Amino acid sequence: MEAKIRWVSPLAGEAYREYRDADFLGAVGLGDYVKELAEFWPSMGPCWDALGIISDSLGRIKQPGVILVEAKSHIPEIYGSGCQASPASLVRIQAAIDHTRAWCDVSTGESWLGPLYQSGNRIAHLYWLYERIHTPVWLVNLYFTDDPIGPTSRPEWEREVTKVKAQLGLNRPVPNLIEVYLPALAERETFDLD
Amino acid sequence: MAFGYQYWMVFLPAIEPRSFLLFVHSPSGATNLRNYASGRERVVAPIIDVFRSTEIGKTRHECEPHKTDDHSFWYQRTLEYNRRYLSVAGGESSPLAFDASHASLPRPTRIHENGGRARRGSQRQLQDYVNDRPEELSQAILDQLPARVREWRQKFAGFLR
Repeated sequence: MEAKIRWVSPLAGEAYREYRDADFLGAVGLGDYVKELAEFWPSMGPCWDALGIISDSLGRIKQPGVILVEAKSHIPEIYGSGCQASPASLVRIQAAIDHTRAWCDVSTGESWLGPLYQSGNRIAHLYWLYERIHTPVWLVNLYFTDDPIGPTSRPEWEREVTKVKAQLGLNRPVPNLIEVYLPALAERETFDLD
Repeated sequence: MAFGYQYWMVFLPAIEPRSFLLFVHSPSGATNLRNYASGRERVVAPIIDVFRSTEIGKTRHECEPHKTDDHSFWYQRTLEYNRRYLSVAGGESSPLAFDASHASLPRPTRIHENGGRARRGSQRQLQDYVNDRPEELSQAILDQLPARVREWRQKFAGFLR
């Protein structure tokens, strides 16, 4: 039985729309869990760079898996300005992060609400899908090598990823979190759309 | 105004579809978005990644630092940017009208200007892979999954039709 991924975003036919919150769940066929996600995480959660649905090529599995993709083209893209949520939202986010850190067996490392908040909130959603609603799910951290926007080689990415994991206090692999490296495609201008 | 702070006027229709906002980025990573469109300051929690959600020269413009409690100053700057980049003249939409037309609060999904097409960077790369080379993208991921997919198949064997 061969696995196959069907990409649901960002599709050209849908203006390259990227999904978050309830729309994200709907896009991957988990629309029944909107209430549960809202209890776990406040609105304006992660906006997924790409979403895919993985199933066997014969379509015999009734519960397909979900592929969540977070992509980076240069190292500074990994680091952000941290969580800027309102105090009310922050309570829910902190609780979700605490559960996620425990799931990842993290007891050290920096706060997940700082510059690596984006990495932390993606892992939190992986935890929620995998552990709370028992969905087959994989979080793919996708790193493009040698993108002209900030050329980064694979060894450079690998060194930075190791550093990020250490900063997050991740001493063992996170279930169903994978790193993928792909060569950046040649840059093309979008004159047809300007 | 401390050393190293960056001041940007940004257009984020997901947060404010009718006006530019002031975005102050500090070296420590702390940030604030401020809306002066009413003539008074209103602080907005960014939540989203402002740098990633905007584009220099189009939806993000760097400004000279100025104290943020000078509401009159920032109100004038806001009007200036709104007139320049958001106004509709001669029946033609401004370059940013696409975003504004799709905006509502809160906006659950993200669409870039330019018909959704990212100009460059990771979002553009991913758009190209998903739409032009989906098999390569899928295979690169599947190559990392065999063991996990086996576990998945075992775990969900009961769901097989």
